[in-house]
Amino acid sequence: MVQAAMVSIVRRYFPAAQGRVRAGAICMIVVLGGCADQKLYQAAAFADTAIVFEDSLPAIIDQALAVSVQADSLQRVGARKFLRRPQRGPVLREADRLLVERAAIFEQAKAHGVLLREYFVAIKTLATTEQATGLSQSMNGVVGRMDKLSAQINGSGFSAAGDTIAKLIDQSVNFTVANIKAGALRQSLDRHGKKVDRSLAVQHAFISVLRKQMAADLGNVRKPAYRNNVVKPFVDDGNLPNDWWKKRLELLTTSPDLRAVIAAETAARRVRHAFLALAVNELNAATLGSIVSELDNIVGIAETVKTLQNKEAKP
Amino acid sequence: MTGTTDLPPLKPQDIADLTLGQLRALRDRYQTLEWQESIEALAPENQNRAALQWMSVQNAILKLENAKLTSIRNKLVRNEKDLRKARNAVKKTVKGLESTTKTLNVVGDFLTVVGRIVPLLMV
Repeated sequence: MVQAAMVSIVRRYFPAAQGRVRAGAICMIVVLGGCADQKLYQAAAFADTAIVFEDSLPAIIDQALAVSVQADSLQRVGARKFLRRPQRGPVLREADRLLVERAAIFEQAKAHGVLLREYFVAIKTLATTEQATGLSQSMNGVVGRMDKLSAQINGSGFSAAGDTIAKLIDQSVNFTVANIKAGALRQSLDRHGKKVDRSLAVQHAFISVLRKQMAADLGNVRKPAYRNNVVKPFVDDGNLPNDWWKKRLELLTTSPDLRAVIAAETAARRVRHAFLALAVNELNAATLGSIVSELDNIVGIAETVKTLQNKEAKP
Repeated sequence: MTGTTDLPPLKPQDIADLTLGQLRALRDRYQTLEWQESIEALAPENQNRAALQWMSVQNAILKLENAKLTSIRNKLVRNEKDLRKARNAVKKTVKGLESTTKTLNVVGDFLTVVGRIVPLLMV
């Protein structure tokens, strides 16, 4: 039941996502099913989820900048007719300077996200690395050669021992490879876990500030829309438009832009918790599932925002 | 005993947050019908003064918001060196796995050579 729900969430996300999300989904399903080298699958699934989260951030940061510019423009346009001509240029220049400064901060935050993403990609490579597959093949190769070598040596004792060793090694190859990788992963988490956690915590704080600023900007941007589409028609004489209540509802409820950044804030917190859980070996399918559903939420909202923007763009 | 409740002193960040909240409330007021009507009713000189004040409020909001973002950005940048180190260490580990593979291949090749030598020794 849970597996089916998870698969359906991830499947819904697939059309917009790339191959790595599929791999993540497969890993997660395996985690739910339970398997021998669970730790590696969990790490791979976590890394996949965290990579998708980092991929979703630039769009949200861009949207936050767009809302900042929109809110600022509303103020400048509103005051423009009361400003004298020589005052207008300096007013706009100062506003532009501050917004460019903000855009630069946002770019740095995106670059930091790219760095975190690279770390998660490295973790995923470690957990699912093809080198490890190569390692497995090499070990098998050695076994094969030992076998051949033993056949060339006279004396059945050695040959029999060679066969036994070959069988034993063959059986334990996968287990050994998994252990080498799990050990390397553990070492990496022990050594760098705190630093990565600190970065995730600051990233979460950054998104929280974005959410607060976006809420303030959107609240301000919506005020004139509410005044013109809801208050004015209601106060004035005459019939109200048929869609008056719909406009009212739309402007009284949380905007899709804000819902996207709220979802991102929640996802940032959950990614951090999942990372901590992975570090202490307590990551479970439920934790990963909650991040996937939050990511699904972000994608769903992003689609809504895009649809609304397309509608607005049409004449 | 002063007879008043001692409150913890406000931190600079708290003061900045409170100021930002007040400025935003003021900016929201500029968007109300009442304020729009009242500014229209002013003399041109006062309209200009109100508009300049409005611009100062908006600039102050942007400056305070940017300051907050800058302080978090600085923390992000401070962590970048560590993050790069962590990423490189994991990459190195993956490379280590690769070299283990290479070593095993060399061992395998060596065994092949041994396999060819052994029959010669046994003759």
